[in-house]
Amino acid sequence: MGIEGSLAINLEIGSGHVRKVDISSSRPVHASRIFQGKEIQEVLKTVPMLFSVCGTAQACAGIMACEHALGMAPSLEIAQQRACLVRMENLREQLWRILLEWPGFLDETPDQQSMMSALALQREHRQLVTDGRNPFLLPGDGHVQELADVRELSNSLAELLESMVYGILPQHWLDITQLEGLENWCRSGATVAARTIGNVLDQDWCDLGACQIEALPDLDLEQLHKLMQDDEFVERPQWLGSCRETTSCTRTDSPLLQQLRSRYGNGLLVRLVARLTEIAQLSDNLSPAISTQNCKVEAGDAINPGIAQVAAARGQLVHRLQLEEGLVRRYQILAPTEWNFHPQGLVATALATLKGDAAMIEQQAHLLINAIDPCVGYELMVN
Amino acid sequence: MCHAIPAQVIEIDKASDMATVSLDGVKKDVSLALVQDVEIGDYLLVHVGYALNKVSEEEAQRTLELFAEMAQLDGAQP
Repeated sequence: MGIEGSLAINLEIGSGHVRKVDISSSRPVHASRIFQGKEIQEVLKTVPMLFSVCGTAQACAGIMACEHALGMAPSLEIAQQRACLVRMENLREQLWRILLEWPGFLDETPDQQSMMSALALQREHRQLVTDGRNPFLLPGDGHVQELADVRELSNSLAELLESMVYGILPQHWLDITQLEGLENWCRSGATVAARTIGNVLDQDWCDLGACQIEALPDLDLEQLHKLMQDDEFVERPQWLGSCRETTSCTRTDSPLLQQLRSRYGNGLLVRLVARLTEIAQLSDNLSPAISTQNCKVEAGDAINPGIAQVAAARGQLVHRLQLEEGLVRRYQILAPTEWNFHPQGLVATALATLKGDAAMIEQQAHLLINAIDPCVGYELMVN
Repeated sequence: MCHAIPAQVIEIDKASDMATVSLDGVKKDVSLALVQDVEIGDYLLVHVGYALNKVSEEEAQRTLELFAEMAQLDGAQP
């Protein structure tokens, strides 16, 4: 095990179905304790270094929690910059799954070249939006960056997505509103995404892993404060006594997804299509001049502790911190993986529905785990 | 959660675009497909088998110190 931790997922099978699912985590969920006793500015610089996979979302949640604790609010322009940087990071993370991981399910080679192009566009977007400044530090330097015009970059991204993901322009893909249209798109087989979805349809895996775990609702901050006083909640969170899901699937909607959900619940097809839908929607929303919905602008109330939520790539991310004379007294991070990979949660419940021989169950389990997406490596054991 | 760990490159296989990195004495093979101009001695941020980007030695050392501190604290009582 590395210091980044990992998940161990054990499936016990018998008589053609899963008898027992055991998920254990060695993730350092209390890593944020290292911030305790440190100066807030130092902490804000450190957060994206330590949590670098979703470093933008983490930095955004950190500064917002800090502002909340101090009774401050960012300017609208800064809030918009932050929000669109988080959206771009989310897009990159969703693309990573499709370009580097989906090919493995079809015995194809990961599309590393396209991923490199996407990473280059993300760097260009950040530079364009921030002009090289860091909008995640406190206090701001008073400089108000003119809202960047990202139309040219958005066009480049749309072309990239057309060639590497959709085979058509992403906004045209969003015009698919019925299963029949999706089937027609898959038949083209033009991209790994089309072939992956086509394979799920051909194998009749559309409702694979469908289960009754409800979506995490908008969290009531007062209640969240109370729950986070207990470190066990951060390790194994439940909301109103039950496990919840927070993923790109629970926050993404479209006419196509509505139809698929009514047929297949929250099964595999809906999860994969939700990822494609979110990428297409995000690709049209990379300008800072649009709403800040994934990083809400909230004036702080100067009541310690501060708390903030950000829609990160894998689900809702919460930072909570308590300040005392300019130093961090307590810092907690509640990450989406703790909700989704809770021992009795979404993944455990979805995996428990699988049927078949050991090889089939193992193949399907990998697909489901990838579709729900932990932010660490995992080991799957089927016995 | 969401950690990418800095590790030093000790060997490069240009044919496969892979590098062997050392992390706290433990060797790992990582793909260099997503980064450019990597040389032996460079520090890379590594996550699930891929090098994400290069970091300076200073930033790598600072981050590794934080991870060491984190490893000591995690599991301890708050």
